[in-house]
Amino acid sequence: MRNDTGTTPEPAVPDPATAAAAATEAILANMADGRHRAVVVDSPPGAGKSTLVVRAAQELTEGGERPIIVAQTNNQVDDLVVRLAREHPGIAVGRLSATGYTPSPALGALTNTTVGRTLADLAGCRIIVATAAKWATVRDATFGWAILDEAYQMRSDMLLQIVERFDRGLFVGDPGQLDPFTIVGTERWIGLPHDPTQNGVSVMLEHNQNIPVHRLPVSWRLPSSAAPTISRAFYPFTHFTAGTGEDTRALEFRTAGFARTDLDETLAQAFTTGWALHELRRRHVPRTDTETLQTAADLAGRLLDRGAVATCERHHGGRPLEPGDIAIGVAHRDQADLVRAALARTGSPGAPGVAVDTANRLQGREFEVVIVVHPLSGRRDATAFHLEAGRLCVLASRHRQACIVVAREGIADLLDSHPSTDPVHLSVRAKFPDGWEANQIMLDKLAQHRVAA
Amino acid sequence: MSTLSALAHVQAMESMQAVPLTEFRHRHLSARPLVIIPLAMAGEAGAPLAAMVGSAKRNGTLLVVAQPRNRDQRFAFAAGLGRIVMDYIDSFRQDRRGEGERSRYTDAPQILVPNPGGLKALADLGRMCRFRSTSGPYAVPDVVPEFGMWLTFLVDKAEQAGTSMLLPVTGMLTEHWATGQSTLEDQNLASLMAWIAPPSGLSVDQAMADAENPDVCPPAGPSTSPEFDNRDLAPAIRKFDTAHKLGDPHALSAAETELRELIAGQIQPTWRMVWQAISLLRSVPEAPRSAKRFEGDCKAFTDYSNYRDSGGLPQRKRDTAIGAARRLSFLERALAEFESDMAFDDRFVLADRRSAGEAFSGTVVEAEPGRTVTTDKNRRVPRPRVTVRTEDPVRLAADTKLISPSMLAGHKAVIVSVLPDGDTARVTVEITGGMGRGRVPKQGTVPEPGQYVAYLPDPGWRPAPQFPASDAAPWTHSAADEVGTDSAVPEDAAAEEWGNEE
Amino acid sequence: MREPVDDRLAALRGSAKRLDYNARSLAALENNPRCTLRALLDASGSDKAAIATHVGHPPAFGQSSFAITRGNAFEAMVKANGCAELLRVLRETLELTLPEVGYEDLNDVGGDGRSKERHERTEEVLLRAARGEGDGTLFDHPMLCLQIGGHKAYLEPDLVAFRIDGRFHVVEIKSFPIIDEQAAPAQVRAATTQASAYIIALRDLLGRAGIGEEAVSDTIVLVAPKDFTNRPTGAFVDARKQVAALTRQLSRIERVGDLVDLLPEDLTFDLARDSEDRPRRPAEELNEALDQVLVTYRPDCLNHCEMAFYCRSRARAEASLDVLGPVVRDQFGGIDTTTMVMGLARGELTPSEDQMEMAAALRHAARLRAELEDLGGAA
Repeated sequence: MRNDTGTTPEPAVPDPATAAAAATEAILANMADGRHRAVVVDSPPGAGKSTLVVRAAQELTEGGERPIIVAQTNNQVDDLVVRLAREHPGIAVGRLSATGYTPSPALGALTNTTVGRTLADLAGCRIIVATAAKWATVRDATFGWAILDEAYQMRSDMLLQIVERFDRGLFVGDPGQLDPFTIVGTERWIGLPHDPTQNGVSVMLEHNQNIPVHRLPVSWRLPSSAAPTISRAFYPFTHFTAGTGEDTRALEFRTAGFARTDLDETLAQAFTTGWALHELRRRHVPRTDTETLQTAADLAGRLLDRGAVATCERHHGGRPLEPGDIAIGVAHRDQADLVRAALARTGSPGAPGVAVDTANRLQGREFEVVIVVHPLSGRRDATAFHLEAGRLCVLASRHRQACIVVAREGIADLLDSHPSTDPVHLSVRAKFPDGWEANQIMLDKLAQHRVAA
Repeated sequence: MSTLSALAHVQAMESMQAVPLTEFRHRHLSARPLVIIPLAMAGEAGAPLAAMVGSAKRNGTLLVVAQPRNRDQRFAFAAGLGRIVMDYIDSFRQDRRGEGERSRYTDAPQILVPNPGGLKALADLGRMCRFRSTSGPYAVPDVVPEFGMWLTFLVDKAEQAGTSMLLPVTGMLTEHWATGQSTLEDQNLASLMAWIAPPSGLSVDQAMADAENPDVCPPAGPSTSPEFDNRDLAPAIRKFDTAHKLGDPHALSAAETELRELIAGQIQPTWRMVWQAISLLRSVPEAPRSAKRFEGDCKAFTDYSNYRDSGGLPQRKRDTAIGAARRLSFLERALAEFESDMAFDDRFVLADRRSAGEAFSGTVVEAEPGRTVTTDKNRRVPRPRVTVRTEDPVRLAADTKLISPSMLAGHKAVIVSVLPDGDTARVTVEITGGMGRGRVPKQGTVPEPGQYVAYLPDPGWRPAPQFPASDAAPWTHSAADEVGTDSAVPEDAAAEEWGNEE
Repeated sequence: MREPVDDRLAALRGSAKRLDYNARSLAALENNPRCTLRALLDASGSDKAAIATHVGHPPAFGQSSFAITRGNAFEAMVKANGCAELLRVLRETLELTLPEVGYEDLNDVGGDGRSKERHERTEEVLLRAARGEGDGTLFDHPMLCLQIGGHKAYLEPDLVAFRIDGRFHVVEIKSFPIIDEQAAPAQVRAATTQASAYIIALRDLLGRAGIGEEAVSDTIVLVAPKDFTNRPTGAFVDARKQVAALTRQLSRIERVGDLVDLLPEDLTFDLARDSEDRPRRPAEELNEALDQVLVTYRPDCLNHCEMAFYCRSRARAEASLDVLGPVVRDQFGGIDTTTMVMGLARGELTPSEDQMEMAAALRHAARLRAELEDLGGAA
């Protein structure tokens, strides 16, 4: 039941682990052979990007390098520092940070980690990690290698500020997620190879030929119920597979359902198939519509109240889901604020622990169950913002177990009346996947898991 | 767009009159702006047809290109317009104050065009003129490249939010007034003016219908109406061409006169309307912080004047990697500051942010004016807290830094908590700045119970990004085999081929 | 069930001559696919401009003779001397390898300018080229044909080039300038939509002979004046998305039958022209007929559709928020009219359950505005 129908299976890959290991070896070999200024790794959601970053950093250190790591947010930096320090207790890791930064408890507990304001504070560290914004303030230091994490989310003008800090770069990121953007509306740079509003990877590739571009072939996060659909909708030219089989992951309730039948039916659908579309009555509503947002919160509350046990390759015996295992993803910040308020209203004691955020801020994060407020729900018209493939991709690819989409009926009609109207520019390749097309594929999939509220 | 601004448009549509969106005019309006109404020939690449230009309603100069496809006439026109514009610009390069580095002109030019299309027409004209050579084959008068460079400077500056040296009048009007029509229709100056100030004796309805009738309201350019082109202009240009070919001076002058009259008939209604719009805009008080932004304009104007005086090169066709990154950072910063300035100055704009939950105002219901904390450096400093009750749908998170238009300058605060309380919310803020240097806050720097206060997010200060030197684009942003493909002055500049002359 | 639908469509058009789809009506498919009135008028081949004019809302899509002259002169210049300038652009600007050049003029065949004959000749010549017979590389004004809703529409690209990387490429010759490698986005988009129809038609032609669609590139070659000169330059335009979008919309035209079923039996947009071609149908009657069909008006229609002024006047009469455009309208959720917005904002109307939230937001906004105006805001 949890298998996707209608997709062609990948050309015989005997074992995902073998395929993934081969990809990693090829990447490391490229880095070692010294022939390339840059190596690019495209990583679909949950394909072991952080594992690769940690591994590559360690290999570089072993080869006598003193690599730096560039991430995009403080959270990403902290996560990487913790992983590096835990997996390689023998390597001194430096965390370069701005004034006013307080290390998280997990990071504070590490013995092989130093937090510093300047490079001088971190003189003894073999690997130094910081946000791109922090690296941009560093002058007069050059390192052999930089590993740039979430590189597709870094704007080309940011890369320009940090590029003088390293000779060679490993650019790792997910090309299917949201593109960087600017609030400034100008067309003056369109078509330029060095357009500062583009992502750094694309600009670097425009100017350098024969850069090896690898891709990680296996998503360890997405379950087998999700990988084929996400792959087809958002990575039409580079398929990937799920790293786990059909029977590896499972969700079960700890209590029987009663009373709230529509919420329970949706949860049951999601638990058994990995997907659910909780469809509300057709209506045009503002994006702050309480019914929609409250429903998303109620689903999370209901899930917590009934209690669920998740089985997976990490927890063969099952593990009870905690609030932090659940996320609610939305398109707009005001929606996130309102969902947080709605969670408080559910009265469920764990509800405040549920992660609520916009697609932009959920990028790179992972949860067991994700509840998505569909960006097109209740809308009269579909703007480029709401159709953007990357937005839906982020929202629909954060989960390890199940994804529940809350939407008002009528998205199919909305898509019909708003064909993609992206502007066309001379000598600029069209961006794929097309948001319209990706939305259609997702909607077709969700229609098979529809529960009418 | 917020519900509040949207409501203003609905209100306008219902009441059939424009509704103010702001309390102030947020753009500096010069005492002596230069209005330019450019007209272009349909189908040609930036071929000017005419322009009306002048710094007072009563002394507009009409310049006409009798045969827009003719290269010499085109540049004669550019030189004519260029001389007027350069005289105007030079008149601002007289009064200079300050010493050395800080010396700058005390006033700056301001060019107003009817609509965004007019701005684009000037951009094209600037691009057409700035690389022209003043010697050799196809030489143009000295003023042409100078004019082109200045136009390009002004057009580039116009991209920066809050500047005032080159503006479309439709943009200034729609910043202040909401109409009951769409953004698209608002770009038609006559339609927009129909809502704000319909001609006397006409209803808004009638004025709107007239605004779309090219026989009553000729388009504000740069394109002329196809009916006018086919019915009037084409035969008149043919007459001119024939006279030109025959070398008949009498017929030539008659044809020229006819053309001028025809074009004057098309351009004068817009000319009058632009000046009417200017006087309407003058009646709206200027926002307090507009003066600060205007100083920025004066500085930019001074800098570019100095650059021209030192014989600087024309602007490149396209930005370099470093130049583009610098400009982007500059434009982003200017936009954030402009938006914050407007909300700070203007109750209407603030209300807009309030209706979206991005700002709030209300009455102080609790205060802890004597609260202090001890800093890292072991110093006791005042950190009073106050709680504000507001009916606004506040969405600001704890730790958001705030500024307040209702308190003294320099007042800074940070959100401690936002708690819903029935239909209202209680926002507790901690005051962090603007209280003086003492241990006790200065009188009037901490809001008191019962006092009405407003807060909005502090746009904050960001360090200016540091990019590599202009001529040192790194490997990620330059190709190894790139051999200066875009030098500042293209080598074929003078000889750009023309043709299609009839 | 084709015929009954066609009969109904013919009845809608009435006595007028059927108009085929053209570049503008194909573009409209993409711009406003859900408008019922537009779909019916286009599918029935009705003369939208004449209908709009008769009900007092003539379209404003006049074309300046200067633009037409310039367009023709530029195309002629590009194609002069066996397309010498075009070849220069393809080879020098776009750095394409065109091994040999065989120019085929597919304009009037032996003085026979009829579409059907020209299409047959085009088909024969292009198929020969695709099979590697004949030596044609540049095909001037081929006549393509596209089946749209069961009707033939003839389309005429400026030029089709073959053997650019072994594939057919649609070449669009436009007289708007490419200044410093950039052109006006609206014009590029219009040109791309048009070219997409040619690509689909060309693929269709080859497909019927069993040749796969990859024989036709979905990158178009745009040839236009460089900067402010008269000298042509070229650029590639990636049309993949437009080809996909238009293909989708074309496949949906078949659904016009569903729309027809919803119409009153005797509805017609016939102008009832007399022997001197003057419309005799009372304008009010035609207006009533139009009023019976749903429209989806957006201000953007003013740029595209001949019926736009009619639809706008209808939206204004209904106090519809559509008049203000989607950005404003977006703020009001399911509320349709200014009357309802203002009624709820002032608290004069009682909101339905669905409107409660919107009503609360509107009352807050109205309170704010009242507060501003009370304090002496400019009125």
